[in-house]
Amino acid sequence: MKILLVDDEEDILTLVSATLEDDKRYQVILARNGDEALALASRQNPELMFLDIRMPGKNGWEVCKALKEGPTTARIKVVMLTALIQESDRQRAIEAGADGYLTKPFSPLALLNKAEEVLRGREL
Amino acid sequence: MQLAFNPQGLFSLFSLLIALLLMARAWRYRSRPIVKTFLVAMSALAWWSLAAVLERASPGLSAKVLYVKMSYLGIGALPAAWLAFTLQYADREKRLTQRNVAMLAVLPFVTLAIAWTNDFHHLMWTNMWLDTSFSPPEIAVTHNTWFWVQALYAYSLLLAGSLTLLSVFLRSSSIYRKQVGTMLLAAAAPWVANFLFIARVGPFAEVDATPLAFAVTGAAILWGLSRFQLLDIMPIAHEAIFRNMVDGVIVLDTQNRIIELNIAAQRIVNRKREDAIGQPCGLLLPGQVCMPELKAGTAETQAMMSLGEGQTLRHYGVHISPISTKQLLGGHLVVLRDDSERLRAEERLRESEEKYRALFQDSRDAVYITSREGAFVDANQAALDLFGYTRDELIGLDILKLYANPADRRWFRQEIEQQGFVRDHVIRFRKKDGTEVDCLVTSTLRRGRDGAIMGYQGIMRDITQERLYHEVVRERATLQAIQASMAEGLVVFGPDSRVMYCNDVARAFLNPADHSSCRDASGRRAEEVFSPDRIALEPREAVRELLHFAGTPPDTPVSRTVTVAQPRHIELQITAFPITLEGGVRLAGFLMRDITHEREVERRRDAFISTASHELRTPMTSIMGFSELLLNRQVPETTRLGWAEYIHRGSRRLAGILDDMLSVSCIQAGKVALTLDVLGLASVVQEVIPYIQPTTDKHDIVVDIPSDLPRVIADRDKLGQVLTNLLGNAVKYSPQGGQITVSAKPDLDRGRVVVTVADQGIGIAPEDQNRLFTTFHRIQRPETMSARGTGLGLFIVKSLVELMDGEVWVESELHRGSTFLFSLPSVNGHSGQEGAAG
Repeated sequence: MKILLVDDEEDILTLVSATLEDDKRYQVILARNGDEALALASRQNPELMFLDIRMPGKNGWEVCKALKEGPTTARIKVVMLTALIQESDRQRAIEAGADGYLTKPFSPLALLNKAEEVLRGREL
Repeated sequence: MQLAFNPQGLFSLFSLLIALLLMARAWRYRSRPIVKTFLVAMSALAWWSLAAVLERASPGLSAKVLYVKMSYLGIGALPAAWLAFTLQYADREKRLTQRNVAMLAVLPFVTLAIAWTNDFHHLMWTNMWLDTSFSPPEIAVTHNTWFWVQALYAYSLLLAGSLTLLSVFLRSSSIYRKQVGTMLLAAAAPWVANFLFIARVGPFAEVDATPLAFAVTGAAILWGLSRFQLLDIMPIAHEAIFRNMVDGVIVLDTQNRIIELNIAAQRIVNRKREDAIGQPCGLLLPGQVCMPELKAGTAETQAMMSLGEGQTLRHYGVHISPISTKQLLGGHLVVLRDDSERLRAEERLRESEEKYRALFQDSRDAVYITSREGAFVDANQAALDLFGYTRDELIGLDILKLYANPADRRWFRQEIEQQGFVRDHVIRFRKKDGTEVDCLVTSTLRRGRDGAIMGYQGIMRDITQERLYHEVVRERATLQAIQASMAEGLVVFGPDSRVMYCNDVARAFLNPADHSSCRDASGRRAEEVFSPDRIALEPREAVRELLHFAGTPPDTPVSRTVTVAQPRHIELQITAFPITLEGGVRLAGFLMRDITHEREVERRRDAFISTASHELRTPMTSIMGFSELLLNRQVPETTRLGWAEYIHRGSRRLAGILDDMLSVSCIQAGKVALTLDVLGLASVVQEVIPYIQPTTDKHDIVVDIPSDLPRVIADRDKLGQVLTNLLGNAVKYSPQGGQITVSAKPDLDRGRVVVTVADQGIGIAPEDQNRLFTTFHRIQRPETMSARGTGLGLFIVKSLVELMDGEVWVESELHRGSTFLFSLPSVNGHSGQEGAAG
């Protein structure tokens, strides 16, 4: 099961991939900005995407929106993974079509649970 | 001398005595011309009589001749004086001109001269001898021509005098006839005596009684004088008065027939005297004047009468009085006084009085008259209204009772008595109901015809309202000044939601294009003022609510925030609040505050919190995440060290952010403690670089500091912080890498060193450069989104540099890199120390 991880912070990429790769079902793909994320999403066809919002170039909301509007990518589950904690930011993510919202800092366990939860929701 | 007592001598003696007596009696009336004439006549008589007495008493012929000649002085003068007297009595004095008097005197003087010169020509007497047949002997004469001339002259004058009196008698009204009759009788006496003498009748044949007769005449006149006030009131004078009286006088007999009327009356009834006399009263005068009761004729009656029409219409006051003298039984005297002019004058006076009365009564100012003691004599309606009294209550009331302050009254009396007036003085009065009014009083003395002060008259106006008005105006001016000085805009809407007031600030907010006075907004409807389209007012919902509040004030203040987009962006906080006036009228007040700046600050703080939160959460994520993994997983040593490194870097980032926040906090609180030192710049730069270089492998940091650069005066730690921040930014905002140059050069003129940190990064747009150094400001551009930062760095740089008495500025071009420069005070003359330092 492919999970696309998008963040401009090297630390976060390392942390999230280390967390997810502990579960052998998950195959983690990394992207460092929005354009890269959109390209990988349509090419790799991941089940789930962890998406940072504050990034150079396209921000997370824009990427999410574009993803949900693309006919082949709309099915990809998107969980926002961001340091923005304000309700308005969360609301914007929901409007953009995000399936989950996880704020930094997060516990690796919570991240795994979130991934599980969102993926299971899709299977239902 | 032997006095002969014959009848002739006795007559003369008697006549002399009477003449003297009459003169004495008339003496006190001598000031009157007629009495003077009388005295002359009596003197002439007395002279004649005296001469006759002396002649009788003288025995010798020569003496007798002398006295006879002497007697002619009197004989000549007496007839002339008599004529003059009667003319005066008949009011024909005008005929007694000096020429006439002289002519009258000519003949007597000629006679006198002839008498005295008779011996030469015997014109008077042909012969004069002593007739001894009498005992004592008497003088005997034979008369010649001149004696008869003289006699004729004398008789002529006497006749003229008597005729004069007769004419007076005939035209005298009956009441005067007795008097005139007496006069006539008096005049007749000499005639009779003389006739008897000349005719030689009876006992008078031998005796000339003429002097005695004149004495009788004189006595009769004098008797009449006392009996009929002959000389006091002359009938002729009376007649003159009667004739010439301005008032018409008509005498009616008992049958109401006209028996006399004067010239004025003739004019009034428009009849000549001859045509009027004998006519019934009713034929000439209106019936009401000749009333039946006139016949009863007892009481005096007054009446009014009008005669004529139109232009000739005249009004007469008629005074009718009964005549009741012994001489005229019954009858009435009717006096007609032409009252037309008086009535007209009265009418004018009445009109004038009415005019002034109206002025007095209708004046809106109180007009009043008081006695000198202060009691109201008169007051107009305005005065009654002013004080709240009825006329009956006010008249007679002491004005002192109305004074709110009795001292004013004392001052007023003193002032008006001294100056004669009091002008425009404000006095407070107390009305009947106890309320007090301020009155502007102008008063003058009222004087009688004799100049004595009768009281005061005055005019006063209630200026309480005006005073209040002026106070209100003053208060209003103060309020307006306050409102004009307010930073807030204020608009007050009336009940019809039209603008009643708006200050200039409000006008500038709502109608920025209109530079006219705020007053012009008055009367405009709220919809015009808050016109969303004109000034792009948003949001519409808030505008709708505010418009509602303009017409219906909210019970408690309600605030709405709106934005004006045209012509410049401002955010307004508008608080609608109720204003309740006396009488329950509710107005809506709108207080407008420009919160653009506050909102900007708020937004920046929000952005900072958001940014800071993000900046804190990112390293925190590393620390939390990796530490949790380390605790829960068994991993190889290299992985473990790598994770620990992430944790460490995260901690350093957190510490840096916390340092910045602490710095800002200190700077804002003004609690930055500086430790100034003389420092070599290069050494400080060399200390900082090792902290920066490891964070990047794309950048090449070049230091270009001349070795002879003057040393700077600065706090070493703060200078280090400034350089760290600038170098950190240079790295952060040149993501493509490149060279970063730290250089410095002296500004010897100003005793400073200018330090430059230049990168080759994304640069800063000119419009962003101004706000670069403010707190929490981060440039919101796609290029900066990835860059970490709290937005505090440059604020810290600017604050610290300025604390060290330096300046900071930026030179930059978008996509061409940025150059930050700052200056610091330097120690001039000290150079070449750089190499030694560090």
